This record gives sequence, structure tokens and C-alpha cells, in this order.
Amino acid sequence: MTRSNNTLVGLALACLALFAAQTALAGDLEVRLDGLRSADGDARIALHRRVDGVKFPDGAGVVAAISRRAVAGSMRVVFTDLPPGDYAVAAFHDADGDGELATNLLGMPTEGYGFSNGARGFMGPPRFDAATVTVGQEAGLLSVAVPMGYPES
Amino acid sequence: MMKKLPSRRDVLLATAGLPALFAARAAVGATDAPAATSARQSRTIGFASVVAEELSSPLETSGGRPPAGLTGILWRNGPAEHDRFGHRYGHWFDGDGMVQAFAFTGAGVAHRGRVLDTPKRRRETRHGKRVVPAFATLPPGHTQVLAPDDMNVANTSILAHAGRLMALWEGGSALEIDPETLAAGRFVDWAPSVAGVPFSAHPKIGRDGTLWNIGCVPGPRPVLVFYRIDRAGRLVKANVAPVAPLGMAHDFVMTARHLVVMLAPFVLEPDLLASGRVSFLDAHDWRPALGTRVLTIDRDTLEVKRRHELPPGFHFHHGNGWEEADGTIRLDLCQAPGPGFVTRDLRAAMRGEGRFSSAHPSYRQVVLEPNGAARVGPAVPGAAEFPRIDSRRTGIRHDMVFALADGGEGEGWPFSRVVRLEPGNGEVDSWTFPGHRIPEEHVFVPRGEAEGDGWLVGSFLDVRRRVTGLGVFEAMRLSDGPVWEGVLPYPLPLGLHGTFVKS
Ligand SMILES: [Fe+2]
Repeated sequence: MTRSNNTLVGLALACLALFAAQTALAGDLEVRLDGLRSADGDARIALHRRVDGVKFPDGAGVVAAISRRAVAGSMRVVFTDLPPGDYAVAAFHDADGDGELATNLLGMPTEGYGFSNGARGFMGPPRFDAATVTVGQEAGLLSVAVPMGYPES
Repeated sequence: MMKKLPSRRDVLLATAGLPALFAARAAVGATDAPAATSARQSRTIGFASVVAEELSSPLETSGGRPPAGLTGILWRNGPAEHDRFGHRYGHWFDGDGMVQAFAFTGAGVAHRGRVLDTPKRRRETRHGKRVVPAFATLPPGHTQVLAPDDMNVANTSILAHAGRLMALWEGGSALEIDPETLAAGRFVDWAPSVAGVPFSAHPKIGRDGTLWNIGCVPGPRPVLVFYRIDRAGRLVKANVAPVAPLGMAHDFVMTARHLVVMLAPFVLEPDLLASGRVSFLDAHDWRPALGTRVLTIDRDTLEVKRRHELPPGFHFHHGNGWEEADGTIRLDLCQAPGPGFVTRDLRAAMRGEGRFSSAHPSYRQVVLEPNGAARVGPAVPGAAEFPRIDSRRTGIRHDMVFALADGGEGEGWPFSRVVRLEPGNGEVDSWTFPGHRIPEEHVFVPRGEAEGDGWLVGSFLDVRRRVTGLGVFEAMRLSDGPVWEGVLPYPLPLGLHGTFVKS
């Protein structure tokens, strides 16, 4: 192997490392929120794991959470360094910025919300299984969409 | 028919000046129709979609002016778009609502009507097809409903309260309407805590302007909601009571101290509805073994205070209720042996089928005693529905109920008569419409102080001329026939409930 070859290999490895650092390591999950109606308040995104005896979505299942100023339309966030396994995303548009999903006295949300895979429940949240996204052993960036739904007004 | 809605002033002017023009149009309509119209054809006309999204015309009359003192607007609501994008709904109650205003100006009566462009209807406009589940029909490839207002068609009744005009449905929020343009506005947000919570179509207003209503939520965690709203339109109190199982609770009664809700044993199976395979109506099950459960609610605390049991039956409407000194409650009830007229007959009507197969509601009085005893009085023979009272008697003793009735055969719709009943005594006065006219709900409009001193005002569909008309009766002399009537140059689909706002 010539010196120039070694240089090329070294350069290639450096580029690969740089590339990886700029995108994602294995076990990263990109979440794309679609259909945000306004830039009011914050988008709050929680990453859940399955917990026996806990009904999704519940604070007991949250392993990571991200809050960002809301952007009308679409926005992306990335959860990094995730151990392999099943996850589900629950997000809401905290338009009034009080840190909570506003609900009426029946517990029905009055702010926008959504789940990974576009999962929907009937008069309630979906099951964890319907919203599951699986992070595997393989390297790469996983991406999942969360379409936001809003109560009519 | 004008395409664009004229202003109120335009309508007032038109009322005075244009009857001749519309008389000519009405005459054209009359020559189109066959001399004799079968029951099947008449039903087809009544359940056809409205001819235009917006309508406006004076009523043509040959009988002079409406009675002096009868001024204001009869607001009506009902399903009007049964067909859209080539899709026809299967049930009378499915269609998108349309508000109708019949303005009594003193000189004459002018009509305006407009289909309510709800968020549900706008969603379907964006898709270019019907995509939202309806009360009794699932369009092919329908979307999932996230919240009740996603399927709110605002097609059942009209409420005027605290300076606001609202179209009501049963399964979702009240929809505000602009009284000038009749345009659909926003869903009414009484308070953040009740945003998007069902608000039923038969609220009751007390003499001080306080409004009570129920909300019926027969979901996986079934509850009834009770509302108290002050005369300024502010929510004073709301309460939730779990009730399982639960089906449709369409109407209720308000007395001096209580609200009374009667629950027919026609209950929703939430799992069946959640499966997405059947409509809301078809997810209901008739379970006569449950009997009719009666809840009495304290109208101040909004807590359930008493429970009574009555034999099974199916009903939509009450008229009024009142409380005697010892706490005994007497209330009006239009009840059928079972729900067949809703599950079968109102579907058959949409298919234009001939005769109905189910027994229809008839009038009876219910007595609830404070010791827990309850009984249902004997039925007045024949079918009776759309009960109305002199609304100044709401919650206190009343001696008369106005209703639509059939010829006494119990067949029900199409009703052929308007009647006055005395609770406990039965029918005391009536008027039979000509065979080619189908009466719709008639409402009482007061004149003097005494109960019943006033007029009974309501619309009818003339299936021979293919036009909708409006009649005015002396409320205590129905058998004299209408003292004034007028007709439009177009038919309106048979509607549901209305309210008269005096001016
Ligand atoms: Fe009703």
C-alpha cells in the first residue's frame, strides 16, 4: 500500500466520520410533525417505550421529550442514541404555551395532537402497537411521520 | 330564486313589492305537477335535496296580511342536502343542515334559506366527495372521526339566546349563525371546559333567561353532561354523570327545581361503533329488559338526585313538565313501543317507499312520584309528534300541548293534522290539512297573557304544487283552519325544529 493510498483511506474514513456526525448515528429517530396549523406556542414531542400495566400515552412510558417553538406546516426533531427496541411518539401543539394538552371536561383534547404512523384511537388515544416504530441494530437514520389533528372550531 | 343572499332590507322591500312575480313562478310549478300525487311521490319530494344552497323569496298569498301583531322571524332547521357529489344518504337525519328564516314584516312574509357550511361539509368540499360518517350512513372509504364536531351537520334545531342565533345538533357543539347572512360561523365555546362537548338540540330557557341543556356522550365511557348557562350566554356550571349503558337522549324536561332525562333502552355498543363497520345508529341495540330509566337531576347542583323505572319504549320528545307541591312531577312524552320508526321507516322514506311498518310515537303523560313510584298514562289514540307548548309555561304547570298527528291510524309520518291536547284529557281541537299538504312542526307565538292566547305558526309541503308554504292559526281555534297562509315558489325538504323570535 502506497503512502498516497493510505492518505486516501484516511481521508475516506475521516469523511465517513464527519458524514455520520452531521446526520445520525445508529439508533437515531427523526420525527416529522405535519399539518401544524400555526406558529403559536410550542410543539411538544414525547418518545414512549412500552411499560407493562401502563396505558399509552402516559408519563410513565416517556424516555425522552423535546419541546420546540411551533412552526406552521411541518417541522422535524431528532431523538438520538436510542437503544434498539420499540418506540411510539405522541405529540401535541401547545398553542397556548401552558405546557399541557388542553382538554375539555370529557378529557377530549382541544389543542392539536398526533401519534407516530398517523395512529388514531376511537374517542381516545391509539394503542401503543398502532403507533410503534422499531429501532433496530443496523446503522442508519429512521424517520417517522406524526400528522397533527385539530378539533374543529 | 336569487343566487345571492339579499340584505335584510332588500328582503323587507321585496316582501312589499314582488308577490306578483313569484305568483307567476308558483303557477308554473303547479302545472308541472300531476293532478293526483301518490304517497310515494309525496315522500320523494319531501326527502329530495334542497334545490339550491341559498334561497330567497317572498311568500305569495291570496289572503291579505298576516295577523297584526304577529311580527318576527320563524327560524327553522333540518337536513337539506341529502345528496351531494353523487352520494345519497340513507336516513332522514343524516343530511347537512339548512337554516330557514320566515320573516313576518307586518305586510307579508319573506323567506331566506341557506345550507350550513360546517367544518364537516367544508372537508367534503375539499375532498370532492362525501367522506365523513353520518348518523346512519357510512360513505364508502369514509375517514375516521376524531372528535364529535368532525361529523357535526348542525341540522336539528335553532336556538336564539343572549343575542346569539345557533344551529343545534345532538352529537356536538352549537354552531353560531349570522342572522343577517345566515352564514355558518364558529362552534360556540361556552367555556374552555366544554369546548367540543355535545350540546343537545332541545335546551330549555326559564323565565329569567337562564338556559339548561344536556349533552349526550354514549362513547366508551358514556356520560350525560348537564349545562346551566346564564341569560348573558355564560356557562355558570357544567356537570358530568356517568350513565351506562347509554344511547340517544334527545330531549329532557325542566321543572321548577329539576331536570328529568328519560333513557330509552336503545343503547350504543361502543365496541361495535369503534370497529368502523357500522354507523352510529346501527351500533345501537334494542334492550327492552333495561326498561326506561328516568334520571331526576337537581337543576342547581346538576347532580342526579333520583332514579325511576318505567316500562320500555322509544321516544325523542317531551313537551313540558312541572312539579306539584308534594314533589310529584308530571311530564309530556311522545313514545312508541320501539325504535322501528327511526331504524326502518325513516330509511324507507329516503328510498321513497310506500307504507311504513312500525308503530309511531303517541302522546301520553308520565307521573314521577318522590317515593320512587312512576307510571305512564294511557296513550292518546293515533300518532303524535313534534310536541310544543306555550314556552312561557316552560317548567311550570301547562294545560295544553300542540303537536302534529296522523289520521288516527298510528301510521305517523306523513302527519296530516295539527292538534291541541290537554295533558291527561287528550285531544281537544284539531285541523286536518288537505291530502296534498304535509304539515311540519308548528310553534306557538304568544299574543296576550293567558296560556294559549296567541297563534300557532308552521310550514307545510304542498306535494301537488311542489312548493313549501306557511300557515297561521288562532292557537285556541285550530278547527277554524288557518287565518293566513302563503306559499313559496319552491319546495323545501321536510325539516325538523324551529323557534319564533318576536320583534
Ligand atoms: Fe327533536
